Amino acid sequence: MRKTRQGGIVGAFDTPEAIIRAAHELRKSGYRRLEGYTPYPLLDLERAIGRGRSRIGFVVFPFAIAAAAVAYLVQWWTNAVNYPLNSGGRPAHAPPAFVPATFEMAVLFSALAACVILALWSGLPALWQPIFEVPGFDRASIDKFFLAISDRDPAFDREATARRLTELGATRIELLGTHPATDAELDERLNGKGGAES
Amino acid sequence: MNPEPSIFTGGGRLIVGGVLAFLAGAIALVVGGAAHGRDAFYAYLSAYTWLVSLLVGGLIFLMIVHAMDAKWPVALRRVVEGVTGVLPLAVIGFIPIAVGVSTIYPWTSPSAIVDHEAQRLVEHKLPYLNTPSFFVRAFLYFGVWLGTSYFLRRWSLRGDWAPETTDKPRFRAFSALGLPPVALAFTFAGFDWLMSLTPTWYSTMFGVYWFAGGFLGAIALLVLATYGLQRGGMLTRVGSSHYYALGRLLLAFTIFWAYIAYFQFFLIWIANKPHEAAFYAPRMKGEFASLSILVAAGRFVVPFFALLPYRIKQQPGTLVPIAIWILVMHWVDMEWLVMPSVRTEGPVVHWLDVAALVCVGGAALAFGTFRLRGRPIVPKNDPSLETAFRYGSV
Repeated sequence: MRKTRQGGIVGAFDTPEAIIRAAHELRKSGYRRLEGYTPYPLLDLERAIGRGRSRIGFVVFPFAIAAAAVAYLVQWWTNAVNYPLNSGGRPAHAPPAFVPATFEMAVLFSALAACVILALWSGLPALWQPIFEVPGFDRASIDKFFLAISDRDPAFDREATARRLTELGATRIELLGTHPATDAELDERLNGKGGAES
Repeated sequence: MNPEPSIFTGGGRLIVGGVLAFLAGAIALVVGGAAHGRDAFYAYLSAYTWLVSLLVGGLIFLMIVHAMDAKWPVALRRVVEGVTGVLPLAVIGFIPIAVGVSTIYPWTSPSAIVDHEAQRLVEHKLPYLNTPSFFVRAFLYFGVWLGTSYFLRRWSLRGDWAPETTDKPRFRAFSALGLPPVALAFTFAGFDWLMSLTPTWYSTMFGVYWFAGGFLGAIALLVLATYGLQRGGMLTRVGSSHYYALGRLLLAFTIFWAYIAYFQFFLIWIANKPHEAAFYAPRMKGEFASLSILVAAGRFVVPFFALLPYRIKQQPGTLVPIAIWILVMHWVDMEWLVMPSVRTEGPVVHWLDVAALVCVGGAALAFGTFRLRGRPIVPKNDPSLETAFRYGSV
């Protein structure tokens, strides 16, 4: 369990339109560290919180090139240098024959690299995040739309931001990561016994 | 619903320029042809097959779009119809091929073939490869292409004046049923006009090879025409998403071309049978080896890496130069298909080849622009038009 002291404020919205509008307004007033949690992908929200296209392609590309180069080198070394065989009178270094394996290795290693990098960028080894403590957060995968603002945001101010979220139509405001919850507290909150509705 | 100026009236300069290019190219071909008769025919064949593959590639794109009832291409449909509208010109353009058939194709006189084995093989193919059936088949191909493009264009234009008629199911059924004959005609045209230049050689992939290049060229042409129209103040609502869609197709078919071109070569190279290798042998030595490398690099390596980044596909400023490159490389590819077979001694590119390209390209440009004039530049009553304009991709 990673003890990240990430704090901030999260607001719950009832409709996609409301959260998209709120995200737009917050971006306009200078908020930069926004994060959305929605039951299904909202392209407009991604744009509104300032998420551009994924840069994964640029990271995968060197892997593809490196894998292709290594694959070609291995074939060249085994076939033309280390153990040349005469096969049908063709030259030992026969580029056309090396192309399929070179291509396959490039594809294989781009796919593997993409898989691993995507997992890392999604923060996968961390199985817990402060936002999971927000009571009722499970509804982010059912019918609620959550917009989180990090306290490291340049425009963050606990009171003002909370007020702003309410004005923008958030039906509920919660503080994020004010204290690292113990397992017992978490359990209690998730089971709704002491669940403080702010 | 659609407030932008929609009737296409411009293009006067394009028509004049096209006609001038056609005249200049034609004069050069005739004058040069008097001195080097064979070279003029070869040059013309390479330019002509370049044009026809672009036109039929455009027709196949149009039919696929109709058959799938795709939404975003509706915004560009008139431009595609502008490309297929040049097809009647291709019929007239076939006349020089018909005149020069005995000059161009070695199978017209098998007795002149020196190699005894090759001669026997060509004689064996005579039931298919003979001048009368060559003309009958060409007539059939043009019948299929012209008929299909005629009806698709006619129904599309009818929608502009009669908004209440809905031709959508008709478009779909006609295109879906028409695609196989159009594609078969295209494949066999490739066999007849290009593959038979080496009459002992055969490759079942050849039609696909010609199609892949032509379809890719047609998309590139579409990028170019769309950009040109936008520069002229039309199609203002076509945006980066539409270019991105076209750019993705360019990338996809660049890869497709590389795949089939490589495997056609690879299987023949690995089997190494004399009659199959007869096509590649002259292309792998001497001056033509550098042309082969240019084709591989120019058709795959350069456009593939150029088209990989997202921004490049999205902005016409970067996509248009790549589209021009692809169109030129498609012509180089046609040179590669024709010249090593017929002009075995070189030169790789004759000045007449360029003259033929200017002649054919100019005529097609003038004719295509002329046919677009006076019509709405978008199918203005198509119910999908608004969706097409609003098309947005990630």
